[in-house]
Amino acid sequence: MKLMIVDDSNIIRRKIERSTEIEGLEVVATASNGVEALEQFPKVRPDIVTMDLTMPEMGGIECVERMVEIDPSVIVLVVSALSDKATAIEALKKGANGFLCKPFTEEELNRAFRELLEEASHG
Amino acid sequence: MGAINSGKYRAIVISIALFIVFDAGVLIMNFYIANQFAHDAVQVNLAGRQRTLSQRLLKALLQTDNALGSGNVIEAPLNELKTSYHTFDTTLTAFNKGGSVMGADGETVTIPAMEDPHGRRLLTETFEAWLPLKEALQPILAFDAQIELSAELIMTDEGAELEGDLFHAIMTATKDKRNARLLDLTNSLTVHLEYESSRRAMRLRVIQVTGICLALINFFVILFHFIRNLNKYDAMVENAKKETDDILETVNEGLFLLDSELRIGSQHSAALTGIFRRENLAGVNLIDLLRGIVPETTLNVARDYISLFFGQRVNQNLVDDLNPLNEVEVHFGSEGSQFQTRFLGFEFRRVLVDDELSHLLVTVNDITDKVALERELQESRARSTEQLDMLMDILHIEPEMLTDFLCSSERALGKINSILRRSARGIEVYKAKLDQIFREVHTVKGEASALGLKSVQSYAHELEDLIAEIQERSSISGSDFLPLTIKLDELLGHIQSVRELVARLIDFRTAFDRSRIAEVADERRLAPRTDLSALLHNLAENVAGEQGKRVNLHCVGLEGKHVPEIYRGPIKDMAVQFIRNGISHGIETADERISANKGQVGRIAMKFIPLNGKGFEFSYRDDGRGLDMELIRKTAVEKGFVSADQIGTMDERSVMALIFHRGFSTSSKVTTDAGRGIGMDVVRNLVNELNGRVRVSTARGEFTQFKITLPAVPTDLDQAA
Repeated sequence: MKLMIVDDSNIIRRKIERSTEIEGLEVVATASNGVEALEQFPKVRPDIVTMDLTMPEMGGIECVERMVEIDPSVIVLVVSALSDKATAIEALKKGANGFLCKPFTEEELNRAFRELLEEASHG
Repeated sequence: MGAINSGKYRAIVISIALFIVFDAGVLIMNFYIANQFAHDAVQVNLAGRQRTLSQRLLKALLQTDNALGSGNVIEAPLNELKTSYHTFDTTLTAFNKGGSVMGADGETVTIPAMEDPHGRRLLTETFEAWLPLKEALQPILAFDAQIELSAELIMTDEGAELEGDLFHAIMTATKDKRNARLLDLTNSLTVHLEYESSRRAMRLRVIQVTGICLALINFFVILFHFIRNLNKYDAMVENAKKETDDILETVNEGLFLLDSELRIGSQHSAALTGIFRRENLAGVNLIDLLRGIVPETTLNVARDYISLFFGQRVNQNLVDDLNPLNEVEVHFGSEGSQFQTRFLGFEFRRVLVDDELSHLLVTVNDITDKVALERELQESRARSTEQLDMLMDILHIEPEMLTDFLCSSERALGKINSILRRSARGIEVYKAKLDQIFREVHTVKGEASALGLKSVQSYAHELEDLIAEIQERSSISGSDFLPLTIKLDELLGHIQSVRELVARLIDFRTAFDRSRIAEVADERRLAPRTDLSALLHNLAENVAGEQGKRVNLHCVGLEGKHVPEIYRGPIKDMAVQFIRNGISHGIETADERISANKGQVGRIAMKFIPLNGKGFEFSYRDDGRGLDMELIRKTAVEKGFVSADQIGTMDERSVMALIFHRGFSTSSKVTTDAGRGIGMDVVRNLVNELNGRVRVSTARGEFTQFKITLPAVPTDLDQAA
C-alpha cells in the first residue's frame, strides 16, 4: 500500500512518516501544498493520502476534489485542526474518507489508517 | 437470508409439487382410460356385430339354398353370404391377432389383439366353432355368382355342386347347434367386452376419486400448515414488537431512525418527545425540528455532516470529531414561558440492510448536566492553575519586597477609591480623574511586573484597557465609572488573595524558622531589608524575555541602604519605568545589534550616587538605538501635542522633552510593557514631586541616557523615615 503525505508543516509530515506502523504501508511521496501534491499524484498513484486543509498555493479541499477525479478509489484522510468543522466537512463532501484531528497521537493515526484500510478491504 | 427463505418456503414448494403430481397423475390416467373407452366401445360394437353376422350368415346360407332350389336368382343372397363371411372372419382374426377392420360407420378401425385370459378363451372357443363352418363355406364362396337364372343353374353341374355345398354348409352350421353356439360365444364376447369396459370405468372413477381426495388432503395440509405458521409468525412479530416497544418506552436516550430526506421514522423512543418538548415527531424533518432552537449556521453544517453518512465514501468511525451536533446549545421557549437553554448531544450511525444503507440510527441525549459539570471543572482547574502560578510567582520573591508591594498597591487602590469618591462633574474633570487612576494602576502594574507577579500584572493591564477605552469616549458620565469599580474590586480581591497566600507562607516560614538556631536569626536581622537591584534584575530579565531580547543590567548604589528611605519608593518606580521603556524602545533585537556591530546582549547601567552632600544623582543609560528625533517629532504632531509649525521651530532639547508628555508613545501597539505613553509621565511627576531635575541625552544608534538630580535629604527626615 502506498501512502502520500500532504501537509505544509515539515514537522507534521515527519511525524506522520515516523508514526506509521501499518505493515505494508509505505510512504511514497510527500508534498507541502496542493499543487505539488497534484503534480506527483498521477505518477506515484498512492492508495492513501493524508491531507492538510490550509496550505499555500492550493488548499486541501480543491486538492481532494481533483485527486478523487483522477482516481476515485483513492482513500483520503483529512488531517487538520478542529478550528473549522465546516471546512473539514466540505472536504469530506468532495470525497475524503475520514478526519483526524490535529494534534494527534501515533495511536490515533494508526487507528485511522486501520479503519480506512479495513473498510476498503470490505469494499 | 436465502437459507432462511428456503427453509421457510420448503413446505409450500413440496405441497405445490405434490398437488401438481396428483393432478397430472389423474389427468394422465383420465386420458389413458378415456382412450381405452373409445377402443372398448369399438370392440363392443364389433363384438355385437359378430353376433348379428353369425345369424345373418346362416340366414344368407338358407336364402341362397332356398333361391337355388326355387329357381330364383341367387346373386343377392350369395353376395350377402360372402360379405357377412368376410366381415365376420376378418373381425374375428382382428380380435385374435389385432389388426384393421371395417367399422360400423364404414371407417377402418384398428383394434388390439385380445389379451385377457377370459377373452382369449372365448376367442379360442369361437374359432373352434367357426373353423368347420368356415371350411364348409369355402366352395360356396368360390362359386361365381354371375348367373342370371337359377332355374337353369340347378340344372347344371355347378348348380348341383353348389346345392351339395350349400347343404353341407347348412348341415355343418346346424350340426351340434353350431350356429346357436356361435351366437352364444359372440354374445359372451360382447358381454365380456362390455364388462371389461365397465371395469375400466370403475377403475377410472376410483383413480379420479383418489386423486381428488389426495389433492384435497394436500390442500388441507397446506392450509393447516400455513395457518399454523401464520399464527406462529404473528406471535413472533407481536412479541418482537412488544419488546421493541418496551425498549423504546424505557430507554432514556432519544432514539429514532432518519431517512435520506432527514425525516424522523415512525418509531421513536418515548424520551424523544421529552427531549424536544413536542409530540408527533414521526415524519418530521430533523432540520426543521431544530430550526429556531439552534443557530442557522450550525444547522447548515449539520445538514452537510448528516448527508456525509448517506454517501458511500466516508468512514463513519472517523468523522465523530466533526459532528456539529455532538454538544449543541438549544434554546427552548414559547410565548408566556421562560426561555430555557439546554445542551443536546447527537450521535449518528448507519443502519445497513443486506449491505445497503437504509437509514441512520440517531441517538440524542440531554447532556446539560454533563456540560455544566465540565465547565465547572474547567473553571475550577483554571482557578487552581492561577493560584498555583501565583504561588510559584510568590515563592520567587523576597517576602519583604512582596509585603512592600502589597502595602503600596493597597495604598494605590485606596487612593483610587478616594479619587472615585470625590464628587465631580464635566468631561474634563472626569478625564482628569481617569488620568490619576490610570497613573496609580500603571504604577501597580509596573511593580507587579518587576516582581514577576504575572496574574496581578494582567489584572492591572485589563483595568488600564478599560480606562483607556472610557477616555476615548466623546462623552463620559458618572455611570461609566461603574464597570471600573467592578474591575478595581477584582484587582483588589486578587491582591488580597495574594496577601492571604503570603500570610500562609509566612506562618509556614515562622514555624520553620523557630526551629532554626539563633545565629541564623541574627544573620537575618543584619541583612539589608530590601535590595532594589535584585528587583530590577528580575524585571529586566522578565521584560527582555517577553520581547525576545537579551539584556545585561548593571546597578550601582541601588543595593538597599545606599538609597535614603524617602527616595526608595520613587527611585524604584522610576527605575521600573526606565527599564521597561528602555528594553521596549531602546534595546534592539540580537539580530539588529549584530548588524549594527554591537554585542548581541544589550547593556543597561543604573546608578544612584551621592553628590558630595549636595544631593544625589540617579542615572540610567542603555546602549540601544537612541531616541529617534524624527519619529518623536512626527508622533507629537500626529497626536496633536504640538502643531506642525511649532515643531519646525523647536530645538532638540525641547523635542526630547516631548517624551515626558502624558500619552506620548511611539509604539504602534499596546503591550504590558510599553505603548500607552504613561511611563515617562510617571517619571516626570515623580521628579517634580521630589523637586528634582531630569536631563536627557542621546546619540542615534548609540545610547540613551537620563540623569536625574535629587536634592539632599534633611537629616532628621531621613532618620525619621
